[in-house]
Amino acid sequence: MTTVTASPSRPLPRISKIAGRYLVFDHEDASILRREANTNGSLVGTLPQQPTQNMFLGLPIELRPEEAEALVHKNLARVVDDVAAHQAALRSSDRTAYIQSLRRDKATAHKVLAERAAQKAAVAADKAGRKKSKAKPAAAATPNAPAPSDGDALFASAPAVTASSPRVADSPMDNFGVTPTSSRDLISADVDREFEVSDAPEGPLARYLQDGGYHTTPGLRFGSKYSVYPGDPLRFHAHFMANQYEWDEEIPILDIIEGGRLATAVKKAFVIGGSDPSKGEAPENVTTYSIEWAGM
Amino acid sequence: MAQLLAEDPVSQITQTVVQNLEDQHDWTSVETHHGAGQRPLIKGLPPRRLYIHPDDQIAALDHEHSTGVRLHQEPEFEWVLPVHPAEKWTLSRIASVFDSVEHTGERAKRIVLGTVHNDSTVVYYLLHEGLVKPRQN
Repeated sequence: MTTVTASPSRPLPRISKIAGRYLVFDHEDASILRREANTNGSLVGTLPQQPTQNMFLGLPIELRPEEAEALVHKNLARVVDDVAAHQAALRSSDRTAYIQSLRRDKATAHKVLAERAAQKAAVAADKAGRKKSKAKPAAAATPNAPAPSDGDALFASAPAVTASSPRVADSPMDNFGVTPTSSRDLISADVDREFEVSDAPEGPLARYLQDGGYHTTPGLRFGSKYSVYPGDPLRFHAHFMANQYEWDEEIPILDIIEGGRLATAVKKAFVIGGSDPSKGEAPENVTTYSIEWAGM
Repeated sequence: MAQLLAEDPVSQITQTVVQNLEDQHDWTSVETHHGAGQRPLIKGLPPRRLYIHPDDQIAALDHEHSTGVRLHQEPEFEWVLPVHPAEKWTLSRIASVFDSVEHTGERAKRIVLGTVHNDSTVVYYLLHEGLVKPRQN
């Protein structure tokens, strides 16, 4: 797979706000967010016929509102009111970009099909040719005593084959055949900019964790708001289960005991955190406390 | 005992924790500090090191493996905050407790929360300031 990175030429990852949910439909955007903004989100896309098979969820990914806000705050992504943007794009008379994109897709499909047909023909021709040339030596060689040069020939020829054959992923039509998950060609950049919104509620702890390079996933399975990972959740176990509180919000000691006890039992620490409004803006004014059983 | 009952709940749980530390956990030099307008804090020396950061522990094990000398074994003074499970605290109050801990040089990285249950069981939790990764227990 080719590595997608955020580049000056590429617009910021687009978060679609639909019915109060924050979704990322573009696989490249999702990849950039995960790789460069330590935000993995939750896969929520499913097949209409198998909505309960949540082992196989795919795009889009859903972000929590405060997660989206943290990204916007750090200028790592933008949130677009997707319904309004689509309506504006569909109603506008200027659809040349969209029509062009359809033409481009069509041309790509033609090219890929032609390439595949050519490849198939080449393979068939190769097979036929090999059969003829191999007819004599194959008959001469005994099956239980293969020639020692066979192995050498295999290894010698292998790099040459891979070097000469074009990798499918490198061709411009690498994702042809994949059902498109985003309609980015429909909506022009200008229309997109027009419908950018920044009304996601602020979460100081989410900002703090995002800023600190931590990944988060929903913490419900451990009875907290966030499970906090020191890196990609595919590589690491969570280190913390974190809850956010207001600076003067009452926290029952019993909750701290429960959290500390549960977290220690699953080899984590229980984190409580919040922002001190007298000390400026999140994430700088966020204070966190980690709780674990003392072992005595 | 009659005198104890007459006292307020805070000094009662403080006294319970002091006794628990001295009698059950063999802490020494246990003393109660009363800050101005603050909850009393207990300072004491545990018989063994109460906490080693996981990174320090790995480094100490490596050091012991290569040189045979054990590091980070000497106990440190700890600060204990006695609380009752029925209480409600806020982040700002916890922050003010950390601010009030007396220190020479480095600021206290943690306090120990001594929770006194109604059956006088005392359970201790470490309360670290900041995100401190869990120990490999």
